[in-house]
Amino acid sequence: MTLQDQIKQLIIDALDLEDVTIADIDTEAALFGDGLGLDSIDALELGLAIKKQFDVKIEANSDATKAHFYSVATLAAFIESQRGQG
Amino acid sequence: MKSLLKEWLGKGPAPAQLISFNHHDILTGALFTTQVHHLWQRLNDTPAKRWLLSSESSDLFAIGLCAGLLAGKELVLPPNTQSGTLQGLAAHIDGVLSDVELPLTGTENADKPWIMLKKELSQPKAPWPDVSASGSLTLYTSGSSGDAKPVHKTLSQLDAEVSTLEATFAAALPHCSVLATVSHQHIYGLLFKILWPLAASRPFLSEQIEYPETLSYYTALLPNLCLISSPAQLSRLPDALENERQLHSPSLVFSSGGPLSEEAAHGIQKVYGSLPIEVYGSTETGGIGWRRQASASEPWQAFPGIEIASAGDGALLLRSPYLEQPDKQMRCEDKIAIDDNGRFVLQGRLDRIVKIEEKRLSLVQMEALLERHPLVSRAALVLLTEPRTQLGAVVELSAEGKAWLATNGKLALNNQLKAHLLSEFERVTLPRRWRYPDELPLNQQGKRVHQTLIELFTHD
Repeated sequence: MTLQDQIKQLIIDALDLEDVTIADIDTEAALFGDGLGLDSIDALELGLAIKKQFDVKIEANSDATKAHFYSVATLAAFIESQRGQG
Repeated sequence: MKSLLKEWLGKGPAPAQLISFNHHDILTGALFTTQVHHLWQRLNDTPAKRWLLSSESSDLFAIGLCAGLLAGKELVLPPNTQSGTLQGLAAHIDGVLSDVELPLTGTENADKPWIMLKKELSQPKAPWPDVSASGSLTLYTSGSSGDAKPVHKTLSQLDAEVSTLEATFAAALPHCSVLATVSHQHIYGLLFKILWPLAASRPFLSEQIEYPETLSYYTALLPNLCLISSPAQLSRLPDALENERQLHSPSLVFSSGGPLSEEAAHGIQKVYGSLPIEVYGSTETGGIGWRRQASASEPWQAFPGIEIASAGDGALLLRSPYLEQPDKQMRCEDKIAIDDNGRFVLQGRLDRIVKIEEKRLSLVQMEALLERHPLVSRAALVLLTEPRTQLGAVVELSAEGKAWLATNGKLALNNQLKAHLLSEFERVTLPRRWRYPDELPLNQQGKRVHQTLIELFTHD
């Protein structure tokens, strides 16, 4: 599975999204608000799940975090960039 | 007891009082005073009486709040800034104080004065207005009938509450700065993050903390902290901190807005070294009692000056100096049981008001809004507790709705109905589970059968 699909599956599983499949999640679309429609609690839970599964560090700067968590594509790039440093 | 808030509003902050801070800036009492003065002047110059006040920045919010109270205005705090909610409030406001454009359009709003809240550094220095503050606040909360219900708060009510908080907890808060993961637009954040810190000279963080990483940054940086939080954050925080005892911990952690699980309370004790202080209250009542949850059965202690009793059906009967009529007993729809020592346990709601992640909402209101959608014939909502507290929607579709579902599929229909609900409800409260049975289950009396509805969600 590609990293992007792994992230999509994690989003579905960790947030227990009903009726949503990998194919329903647009890689480039916003995860929060309009787009996939995730909420502020999903943001907390997704942050925790991403940290656990991909062993990444999340910054204290919430603007940077919001940019990383904007879409599946930005999340994949964020995870890749930390792997590059490791 | 000293009138802490009234006295502070009478003379303003000392020039050196630190009002607020963030990671790159501070707001001193001197600068705060100047900004309050200029805004107070502008408000004085307009006859508009009722002002909607909304800002994500706690420092700008505090400036608007103080200037409005000093100018004798009625400040209206909306329950959220969804477009439908604001339109519903339009008839109750004469002007808007905000730091962003709000979705408040329409001809009836075109003539209303708007004052943009922003940080002004170039204004000439000015003193604290030499007036006696006579303004008041109006908050909106969900009522049992499904309509948003206004709750008025006079300065005396707020003052009584702030003074009690200081008398009860100040000893545990030496030289503390205040951080919050909750919004100051609601009564809990308003009292604990803005009014109490201002009156007691404790600086607050001008932003709202959203992520555990941001919280850890400030706990590492500042030696003495008071954390104003809620179960949504606190129940997830121990995991985010890997359940390890932190080197730096807040002096006190407050939790309010909804029930905190025993597991979360103990999780916080593990990472921060002490149990959080839970505060029980509501927008209408203000604070009622508090506890530290050593075990789930730990009873609540009423705040000093508050008298509680229970009605025949278990409903809480309250007499409180925080109420508009302090001598009159008020019935609340929370069921309680009082023990021999006068302490009490909570036993759930007697009406159809629920809390989703501390956001209070009326199931009656949400069902009514769903039933106004052309694809919907009838709708019923139930509260589900697994895997997290959330709403399940059971919807009987109209003929048009059934055709729509067949063409577009279930996910698209879920999203269509969620978008409709967003006009009045915040995203975090929307139903996460949807069922579309041919007919809504009813019993012989025509009532919706709660257990049958719940079972529609338990197969998975």
